[in-house]
Amino acid sequence: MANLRIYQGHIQTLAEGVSKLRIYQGHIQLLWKDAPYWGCEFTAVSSIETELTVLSPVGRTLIIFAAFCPQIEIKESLEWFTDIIKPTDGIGSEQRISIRPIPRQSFTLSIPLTVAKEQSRFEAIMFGWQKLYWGLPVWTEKVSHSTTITAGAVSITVDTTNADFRDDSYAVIWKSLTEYEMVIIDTVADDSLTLKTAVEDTFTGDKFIMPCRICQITEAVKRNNEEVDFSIAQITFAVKDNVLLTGYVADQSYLGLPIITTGSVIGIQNKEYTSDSDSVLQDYDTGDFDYFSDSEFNLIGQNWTFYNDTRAKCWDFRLFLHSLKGRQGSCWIPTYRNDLVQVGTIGASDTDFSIENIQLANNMTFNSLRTHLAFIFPDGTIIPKAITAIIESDSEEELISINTALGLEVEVGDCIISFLDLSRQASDVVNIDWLEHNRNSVNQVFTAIVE
Amino acid sequence: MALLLMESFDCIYFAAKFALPDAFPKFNLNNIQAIGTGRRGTVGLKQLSGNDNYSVINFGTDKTDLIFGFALFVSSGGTASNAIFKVYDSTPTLQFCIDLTTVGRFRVKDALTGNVLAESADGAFSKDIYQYVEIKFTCTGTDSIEIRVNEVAVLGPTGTLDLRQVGSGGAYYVRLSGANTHFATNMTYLDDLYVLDFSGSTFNDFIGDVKVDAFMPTDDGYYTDFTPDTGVDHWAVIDEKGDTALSHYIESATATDKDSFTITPTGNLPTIYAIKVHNVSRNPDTGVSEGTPFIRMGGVDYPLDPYERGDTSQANEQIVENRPDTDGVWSKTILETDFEFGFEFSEVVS
Repeated sequence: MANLRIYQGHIQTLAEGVSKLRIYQGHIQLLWKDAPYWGCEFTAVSSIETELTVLSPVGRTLIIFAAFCPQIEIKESLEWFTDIIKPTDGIGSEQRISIRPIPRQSFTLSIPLTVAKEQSRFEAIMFGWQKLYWGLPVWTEKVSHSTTITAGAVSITVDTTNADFRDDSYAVIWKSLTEYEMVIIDTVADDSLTLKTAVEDTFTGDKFIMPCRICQITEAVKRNNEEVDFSIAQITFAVKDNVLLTGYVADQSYLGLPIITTGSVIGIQNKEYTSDSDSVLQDYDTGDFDYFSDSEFNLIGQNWTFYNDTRAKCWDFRLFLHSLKGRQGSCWIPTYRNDLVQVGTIGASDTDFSIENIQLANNMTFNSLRTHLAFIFPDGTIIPKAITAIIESDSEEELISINTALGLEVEVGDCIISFLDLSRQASDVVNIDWLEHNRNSVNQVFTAIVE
Repeated sequence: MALLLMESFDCIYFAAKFALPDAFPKFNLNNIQAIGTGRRGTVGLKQLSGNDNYSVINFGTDKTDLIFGFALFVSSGGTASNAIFKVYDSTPTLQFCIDLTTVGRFRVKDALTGNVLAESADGAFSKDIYQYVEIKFTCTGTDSIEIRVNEVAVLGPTGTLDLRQVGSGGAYYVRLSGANTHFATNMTYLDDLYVLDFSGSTFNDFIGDVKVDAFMPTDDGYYTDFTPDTGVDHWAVIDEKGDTALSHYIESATATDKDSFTITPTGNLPTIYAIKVHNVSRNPDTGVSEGTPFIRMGGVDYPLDPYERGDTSQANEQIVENRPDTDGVWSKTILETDFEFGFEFSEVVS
């Protein structure tokens, strides 16, 4: 018989302690950096009495270059850095790599020093400050301003379009060699600057508002004596806080790239064309030599002069240069010559037409470098087309085939037919000659490239 | 992670001692230092002179490549060139040190009164003004060092030096001290410190003149499960910076309770490299509690690493380099509009 005998019964618990979490302090710390890094909190602004200096509590000394007024001709340089890998594909395609994301910008100013005392003052300032950081007003983009800016103002009504005013950057109010002030921009609107700190002095009457860049003097400062008490100093500032500008919209594009329709169109008679075999010399030291080229085609260049005579044009051209990124980017350039002399009327639906025989078929043939044409009409209209074939009809004429019909009837003399070369800049450096503010010219060589 | 440490010094409380962090690297103060004037009107650390007065960073292991960045202020008029930067191995034995002469020359030396291994020009460091100093060194066998002031190299990068004076060397401890003998009149202040090593794909080289700002909570966030010891505002009892920092607290006895907070960032903050979530906590009763800091963005909680607490107050600091929601960079706007930080009583450990 089964029994169950229980002698003792109870419950045991394994009890937890009274665990709590008590938090005494909590906060967030941020590791951050200014842009530019020394400019977070200016406590003083420049005046002639303090000899140009602006001090920041972080230890940077920034000198505003505004107590000397440059001559109106200013030289600006934009410099990219592109690595080009030469073509190995047999058709001449090169690979271009843009290494420097933001162009190196510099300004070279000429400073007239009209009395000996000014020369000495200039030299003393260079002696003490040349190696340090400068706030350079962008004289080439100065904006005239006439309404009063009152001390304590935290905004300035000014047209900021087509100039390099930027959020979280700097501007200079400049009335004279002794009346100017650097202000810190918070935000930029088309018609105003909102400031981070209030304007300290009152400025009345005519004056300039200029963007201000952070610079260092990167070349030897030169001073040439013109007369005993008159000299001209030349000083080059390299901009540390440049940015890459975007937003360029071409007036006319072809296959997604802009067609250059300004500049040397006007001064074509002085335009220089080059054809370089891109060769190296091997000298055998016997009197004989050989000239070797590893390029698929000659480097076909054309020297292009741009002339921008309004603030808007200058800015638009700057955007164009930034879109090219030195030698990396490309654009279409007509030769603006009557390269192909039309023979007979081209019908609206014709996809081939005759030209006077200039031995294209025999000497150039259909190639990968010169494969596009621009039909340029007197009103400036450009119709771009791709060449699909070149055939010698007879000793007098050649037949050119194009990818699609023009869509209009073109009689002899209605237009010129130019080669339309896909091109890149021959150099990563662009030198801008400012003739005065809002007016500049640029002379740049472009080299034809394969698509 | 390459960014090892960042410190604004805004929340150091001396009377209650510096709450030693619960993970390496640990920033601690040997002997009482003092609160000094930071370079932007906030708090900086006043470094006292003498070999027994120093701030120390304990890496818990021999580091072979480090970069230090800090804003440094040294008043002029000192009578001695004390070492401001001393590197020790785990023994601890001094490996090398850097002093700053009365004429602003940095000298890398193999001992406090030893040989000069490398030096800058006079005037490399200007006194009586804050300047941002960065020191980069390797001690892997082909040792070298570089010192930058305001992002400009003033010493090096050197050729091969011997920065390992004894044994295998390495940087287990780095001590920061005042530059002058008479600290009462000749001040050395430190602010905006960062430390990184060369590992990882980011933060493995100089990052230049940076700032570290502390932002205390300014409002309660989504969670208010904890209980404040006084008042009704949870954020208001954990936002003290000074000596009263351990006077008030929020507390929970229920695992899974959370509290979260918002901040009001001020200033420019155009480029934010990283944020650090800081707290000081303990379990006032028996047992061990686990806390988990978290970041809340877009209605989602992103937990950081949990930590355990007994009945000893300790700091927990975790650096978050990228936004947890997108893995992108931080911005002032996102911190203003869609950011909370908080703490969870995540588990009863024992």
